[in-house]
Amino acid sequence: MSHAATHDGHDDHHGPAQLKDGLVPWVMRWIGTTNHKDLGTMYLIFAFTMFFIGGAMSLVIRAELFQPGMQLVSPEFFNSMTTMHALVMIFGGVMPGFVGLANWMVPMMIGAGDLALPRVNNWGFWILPFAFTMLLSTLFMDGGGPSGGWTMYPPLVLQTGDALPYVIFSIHLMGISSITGAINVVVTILNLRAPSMTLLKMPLFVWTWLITAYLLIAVMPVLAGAVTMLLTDRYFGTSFFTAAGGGDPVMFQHIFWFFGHPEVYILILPAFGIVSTIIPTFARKALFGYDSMVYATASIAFLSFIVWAHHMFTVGMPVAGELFFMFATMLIAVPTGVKVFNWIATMWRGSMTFETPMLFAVGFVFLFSLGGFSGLMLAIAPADFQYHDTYFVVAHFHYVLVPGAVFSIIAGVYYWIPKWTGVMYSEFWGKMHFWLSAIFINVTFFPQHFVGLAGMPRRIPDYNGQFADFNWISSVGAFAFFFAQFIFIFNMMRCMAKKGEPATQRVWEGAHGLEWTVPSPAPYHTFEVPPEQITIPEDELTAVHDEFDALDGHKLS
Amino acid sequence: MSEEGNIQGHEGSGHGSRARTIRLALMLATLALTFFFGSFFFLTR
Repeated sequence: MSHAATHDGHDDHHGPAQLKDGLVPWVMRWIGTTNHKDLGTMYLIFAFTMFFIGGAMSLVIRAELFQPGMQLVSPEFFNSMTTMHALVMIFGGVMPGFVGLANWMVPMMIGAGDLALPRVNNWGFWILPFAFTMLLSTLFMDGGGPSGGWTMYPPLVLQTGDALPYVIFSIHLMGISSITGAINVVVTILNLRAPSMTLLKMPLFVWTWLITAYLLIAVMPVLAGAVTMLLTDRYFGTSFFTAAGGGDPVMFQHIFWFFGHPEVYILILPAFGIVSTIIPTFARKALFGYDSMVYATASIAFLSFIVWAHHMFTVGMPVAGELFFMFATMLIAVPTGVKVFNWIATMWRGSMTFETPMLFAVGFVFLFSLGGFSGLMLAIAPADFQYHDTYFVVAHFHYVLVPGAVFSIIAGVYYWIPKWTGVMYSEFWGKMHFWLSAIFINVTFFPQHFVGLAGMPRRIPDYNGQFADFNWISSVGAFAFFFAQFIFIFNMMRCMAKKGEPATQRVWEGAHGLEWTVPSPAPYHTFEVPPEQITIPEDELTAVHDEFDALDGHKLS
Repeated sequence: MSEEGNIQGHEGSGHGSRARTIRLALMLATLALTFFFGSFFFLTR
């Protein structure tokens, strides 16, 4: 392993600087670190900070919508909140959350000492705080923050005030961060695997991240191109999307969604990987249909490139186009169905226990599937003319993103944090967190299906009185869900403060994989020499399995 | 892995080869740039 490529030399002797070594060395350690574990931790802390900022914005939205009429904020600020909530949650919350998990786990799962390009990794992370400071600062500018929706459709978005170039530049920065991160992940997986780990022996989380990284490399530059054209249309006299100059505003929608649809799979494929890791552990069975999971993931990634116009059925397309995008979209249900079948088949007759990560994973399978079903409804082009731009769409994508992507990040953190910190989280508070989250996420978003089908438009601060009851229920759910997340923060900070039962090396008795062959907490440097053996031998697992009836869960191993 | 091994790569697996790492990273960066400029050509074809 390359000395320079894995860590700084001084770390060999006394480890990374701690707070007790002085404030300056400690701060410099975190600013300059190239260690994948340090950067993974920072990515995750950044992501959860953004989740709370974006969550606070959603509470402004839900407070305004608590009852009909205009109560709290101006319509312009309301629109800024919906726009910023989306940008912060997607680019600041979910994506860095998954990158954080990839940073921590991909090298450990494949037996690599670090990511292949550790300094690029540092750069990729430190771009983000600047990008989001710039994005959030637009809320204080003349004309307010961006308010044309996260999709930034021209000509509306070109009416944004001083904020527009800052928003565009912050999106460029996020793109650079994502692309560098993705290149790093691909190179690491293709080049630094343990010698005996062939591609089809890789853990599913690694597979899903490999495919996600390719999606990122393909589509983030397209988003960068689209917003660059917006910039030149506004400030440099071009007419890419300005009809008066011969441009075509609808073309922006095509380019945006050529990015935007693969983007939603960027937000969910790593979640599939996490759930495919957790369910076999707590079902104490090998993942059912490993190969088909890999092929299904690749199929979903491929299909994600040829379905983009289902976001724009109402824009006025030839019927042949509507049919193509409708059928292509429905095809995605096939590999997704393979995945859901495989998760259920893995659980079938398994020795299941329901520790917190498993609860979130099972919650994911059930609630993500609900979001998938409403997605199938939206895929039907003629029906979409009724659903388009209503709260039904809002309900659909929040079902796939919150109990989908966000639950999987939470599940992954609960699953791996004993490995990261060396102590167990509180199972009681973990379960409490799950049940409150699972109940209130449904209280928040299920009623939105009904108001959407009845015609309530999205991105509007006021609404007809007929929608009042479902809206107050949704608002109460949103506040309760938000405050339930403080349990999670408390539980994680407890682990980081090393308060709690010490974790064993294996942590979960049904866990496979290389990350469980290193001590808990994982040492600052792992796998400086590639491991010979890539899984825990079956006989060891069987021995542990025999003890299972007498004991429970993580106390084994 | 030794410095020499690092440059040569781990035989059969390519494990840790610096040259391979950089070559692959540059190829992927080129792919990203292609998509960036491609988005303009798609529009102005």
